[in-house]
Amino acid sequence: MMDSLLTQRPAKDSSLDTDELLARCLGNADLVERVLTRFQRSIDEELEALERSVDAADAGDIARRAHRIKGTSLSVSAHRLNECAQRLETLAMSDRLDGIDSCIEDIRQEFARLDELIASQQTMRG
Amino acid sequence: MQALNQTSNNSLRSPILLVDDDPICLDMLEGVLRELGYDVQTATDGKTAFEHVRRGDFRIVLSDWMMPGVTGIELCKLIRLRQLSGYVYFILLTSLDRRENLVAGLQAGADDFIAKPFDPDELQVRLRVAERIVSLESRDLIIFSLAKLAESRDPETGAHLERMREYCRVLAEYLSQTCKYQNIIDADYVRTIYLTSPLHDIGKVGIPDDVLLKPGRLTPDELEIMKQHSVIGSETLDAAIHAQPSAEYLRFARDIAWSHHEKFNGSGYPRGLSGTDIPLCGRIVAVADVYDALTTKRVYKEAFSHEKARSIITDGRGTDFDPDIVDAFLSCENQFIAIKRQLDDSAQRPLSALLLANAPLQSLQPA
Repeated sequence: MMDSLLTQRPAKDSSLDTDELLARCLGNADLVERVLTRFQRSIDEELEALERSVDAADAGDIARRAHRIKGTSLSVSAHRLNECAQRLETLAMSDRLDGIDSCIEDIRQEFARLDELIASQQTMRG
Repeated sequence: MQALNQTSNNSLRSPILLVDDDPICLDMLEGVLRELGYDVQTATDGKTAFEHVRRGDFRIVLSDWMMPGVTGIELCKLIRLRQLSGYVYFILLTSLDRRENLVAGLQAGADDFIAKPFDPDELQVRLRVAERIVSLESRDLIIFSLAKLAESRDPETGAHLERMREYCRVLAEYLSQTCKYQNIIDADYVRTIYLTSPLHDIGKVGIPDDVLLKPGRLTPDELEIMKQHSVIGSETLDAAIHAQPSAEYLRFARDIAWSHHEKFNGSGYPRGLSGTDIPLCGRIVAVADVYDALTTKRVYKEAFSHEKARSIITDGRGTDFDPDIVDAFLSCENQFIAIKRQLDDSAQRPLSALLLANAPLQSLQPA
């Protein structure tokens, strides 16, 4: 997976900056793969938990979950997801729940994009 | 997920406790720390982490700030409130960068912060600082242990080293507040003399039992052998300096070892130096050492009263001892009496207890 991911050299503002992630993992491609696989497996659970908080209109819980997604996305260099989570956390912390629908949709789409990206690389690696 | 996992690569470095409720961040950081050669344990919540710190397994904790239950900052407070046997260096991982949050972290007792996402180079440098801080405490304990070991051949000296370093601290602190010495003795000087003064007689390990433990007066030949302890100690510490040239405290210890039997009028040994040619640390230790020798029982004498010791030291002002140090002693004599009372040989603590409390006496009450 790493060989193909690295040759793509994605830009800083892309969904996933694997150069940056690889550097953070001290060049350990196996560690990068393990972390991304774990991240991919967590997507459904994170999204479902977030949607439950939104359904309950629990601003505090939404802020906590957004903060967690923000932290994880920072660690794996998923920059777009990080921006979306940052926006959601800011809104939830200011209790502006009426404006969060588009934010949740952005997060949903970005999660899907990342899921697809990681899955395609796993397929290419075989 | 399991609350605690252990990995080990048989490293000699301090083990690190890594705490984060996010398993992905935890996994990545653990992988990087292992790549850097650290022993790592992980905990996914603050409560479990505290239990492991309480058991004394860790000297360095790297914890996320925001966690459900016990947060990183609460974990730090819990650790600081607990009287642990060794200092725990606490680093908070945070994506919070507002000043008030950093202040809150510092107030809780955190030593350092690492921003998420972590930079591996920065992480490595900050962990080296943590290791250095932790090793400094280890160094202090090792130095005192070595001094106690060297002293252990002489059963009558009791808590001599414990009192000696306190007397030295009191004298140095007093002198640091005088016009003449305020630019010479600073807080680091006080710490260093407290740390290294117990090594003043380390050269006695090279003195034969029949001389060191002789109950009667030494013959002139035996006295010459006994005097060699200052040279043996100095040469031993010189070898350590050669191995670690950057360790300033070793030079300080060496100067104490060779110079604490020099006399202000030049009649001392081994070099017969006089006045300020004798290192200041040696002049301070000389007064502290003699006061303790006079006020405690030895194989060759009974313990003298404080008043008699005071009289002998005062008589030696300007001949045996530096007048400034004698004046400092006279100004601090109540503290000397209090130290003597608190660290009396009959109440001597075992070495293990000393190692757990290797810190200056607090709140000394004058007699």
